[in-house]
Amino acid sequence: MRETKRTVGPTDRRAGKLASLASTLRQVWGMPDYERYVEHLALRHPGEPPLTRAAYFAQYLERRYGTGHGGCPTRCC
Amino acid sequence: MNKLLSGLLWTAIAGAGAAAFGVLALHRGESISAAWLVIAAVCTYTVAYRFYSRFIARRVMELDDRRATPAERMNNGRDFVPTSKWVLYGHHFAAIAGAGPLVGPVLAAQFGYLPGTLWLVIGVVLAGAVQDFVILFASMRRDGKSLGQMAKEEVNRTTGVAAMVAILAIMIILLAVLALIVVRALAQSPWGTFTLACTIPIAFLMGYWMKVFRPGHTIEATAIGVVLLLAALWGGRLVAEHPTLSQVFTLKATTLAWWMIAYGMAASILPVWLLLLPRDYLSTFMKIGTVIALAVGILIALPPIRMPAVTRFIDGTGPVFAGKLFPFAFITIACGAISGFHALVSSGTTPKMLQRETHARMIGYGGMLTESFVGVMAMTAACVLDPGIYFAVNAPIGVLGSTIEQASQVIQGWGFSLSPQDMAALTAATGETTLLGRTGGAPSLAVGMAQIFSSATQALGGAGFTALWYHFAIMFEALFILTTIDAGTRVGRFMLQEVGGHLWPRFRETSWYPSVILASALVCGGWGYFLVQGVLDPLGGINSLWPMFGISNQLLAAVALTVATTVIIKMRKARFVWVTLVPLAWLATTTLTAGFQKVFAADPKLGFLAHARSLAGTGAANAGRLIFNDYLDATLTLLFMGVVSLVILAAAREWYLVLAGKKAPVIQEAPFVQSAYAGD
Repeated sequence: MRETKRTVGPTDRRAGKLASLASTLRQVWGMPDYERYVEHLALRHPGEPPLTRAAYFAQYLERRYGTGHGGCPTRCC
Repeated sequence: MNKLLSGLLWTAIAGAGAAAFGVLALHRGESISAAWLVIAAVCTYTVAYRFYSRFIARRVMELDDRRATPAERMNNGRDFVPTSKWVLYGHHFAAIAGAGPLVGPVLAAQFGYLPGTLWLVIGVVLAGAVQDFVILFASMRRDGKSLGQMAKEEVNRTTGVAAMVAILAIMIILLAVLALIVVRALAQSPWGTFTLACTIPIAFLMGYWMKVFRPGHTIEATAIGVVLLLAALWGGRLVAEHPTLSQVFTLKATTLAWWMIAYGMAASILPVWLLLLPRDYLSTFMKIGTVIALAVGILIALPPIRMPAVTRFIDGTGPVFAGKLFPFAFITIACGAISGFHALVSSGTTPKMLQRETHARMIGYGGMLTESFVGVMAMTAACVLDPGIYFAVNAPIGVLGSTIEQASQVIQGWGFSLSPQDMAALTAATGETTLLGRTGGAPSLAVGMAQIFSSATQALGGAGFTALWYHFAIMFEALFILTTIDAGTRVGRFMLQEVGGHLWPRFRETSWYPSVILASALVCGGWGYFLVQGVLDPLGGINSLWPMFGISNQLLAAVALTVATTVIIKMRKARFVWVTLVPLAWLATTTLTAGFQKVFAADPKLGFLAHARSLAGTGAANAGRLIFNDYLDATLTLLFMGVVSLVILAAAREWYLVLAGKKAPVIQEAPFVQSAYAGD
């Protein structure tokens, strides 16, 4: 989905790989993925200003541990 | 040609699995290689995944990649997010795996390695993985609705309410039994207690890092946490060897139980980022890491299994828990073969993240196969121990006596041998003061894991750090049990506030401190009561609490399978109804029989009421308290049985109406929307 940059040097490529590894880890861990959220917003709702990193994190906490789970624990026995 | 090759390949895999099972079942002798267990399990999983899950996906569910998933339709970049198959598989596995599949098989090893392994492997293929898969599918087709909502909408209102009550009651028992396992693992163990105590300040530091210092930088914080955790593990040895510090961290079981309750309160009241979230990340890391390490360790070491295939205790006289092979083997192995709790995850976060419909097969069915394999590994770890040592660690002190010599006599009477010198040497090697009567499964699992890890590292040329590995295993189990306790207490608090809000509206306010504190105290008081009573129980507590947990968890699975069966019937797929109806019938039979026996059996070791009668009038110390607990346990077990019978009967009426044509089969699926991925 990401736009291809005009010139991609080896450093950029390594950084990109590292970023995608971090993103994978975050998804498996169930961690907030701010970069992905910003990307999603740019793609789906262009023009809408994204939340700050801290605000996004606060919202994530509410979603993960808030009351809206309908009684679903996030972890099993 | 290709078809022929594939036919040959699958015949070979099936044949290898069958042969391995044959060896396991027929083998008589001193020991047998763990390789046979691994081959039998993996071959069965492979064949079942390839053929049975494909049959369910294609014929029963008709998974359709042209149909957009909730994640695609409702993508909000937050909880509804299309996620790649392998990533979601990892995420789902981390959410379903916990202490259950590790502890259950260890306890069930008292019947020998064979009954437990058979149920782990056959149960998962025909019941557990099917449940997870069908519920995931049903929730995916309903915008990610929860099990409770689906029960209400697809069956009827009563079922929905019954499911909610069952979930709350089950949580209380689950939290109590898990806390008891930690208490039994840490009592009188300064090393383990120190390491676990350190996880609290480590969590605070991680929480501060993620929330205040570097907001949202979760990976950094987790990396720091893991390093500190390993340092705490290493530091535990210094504490245990230090004359005064070791005194400070040597706690009695009752003291630890009160600390656990205080911890549960704190976790429920404090902001989540301070304690819950960092611990959640740490335990996920440890869980995935250790499961992989254990698999590698077993494959490298391929340790010999010393436990007999079947022990004499299938007659119900076992010291670890009372009850015959049927039905108690199926209750004790709670999570590795089928677990009702997974239905909550499969109808929670996972269905909202599926990118394509067909991914549900690998994530739902495949994820549960992996969980079963964790159970098989736990069984292996327990069975590599010498049977004498296994029983010395897992039988309660009340049965064994308090010295190694007495225990050795008792174990000899059971037909196993325990050399006092070996036991003393093992205790010293693990860095513990005693391993005798450490019920709950965690210590014996840790001893087994330590043996596997140290022999694996020896094979690689390193020295075997038995004590370090032992405490690593204890820390790993305690860490993610505490994560379940803190998250579970909080969820229980929310559920209680929701229910109580009907009586007193302000009680529902989740940020009003009086309500928060009162609801937290009620939930902690609930599981704390069972925990303290379990600690004081002369038979170790696990004997009564673990079967209750097993029964409640399997009964929740019965609720899930009832919902699944209803969905299949309403999809006009009644000819395939056996897919969920057969496991449901088996589960209902085993759990209701076990529940009935736990309440009414004439043997005081098994039946709650008989135990109460045996104490009445004896004037024994604490008789009044023990009798009250027996009646409480009996009432709760009957409540579980009643709720589930109600759910099954209500659903059966619905099935009859639909099948007899008296009611139109209306399903509540979200309408078809063409997927944008369809052209791929």
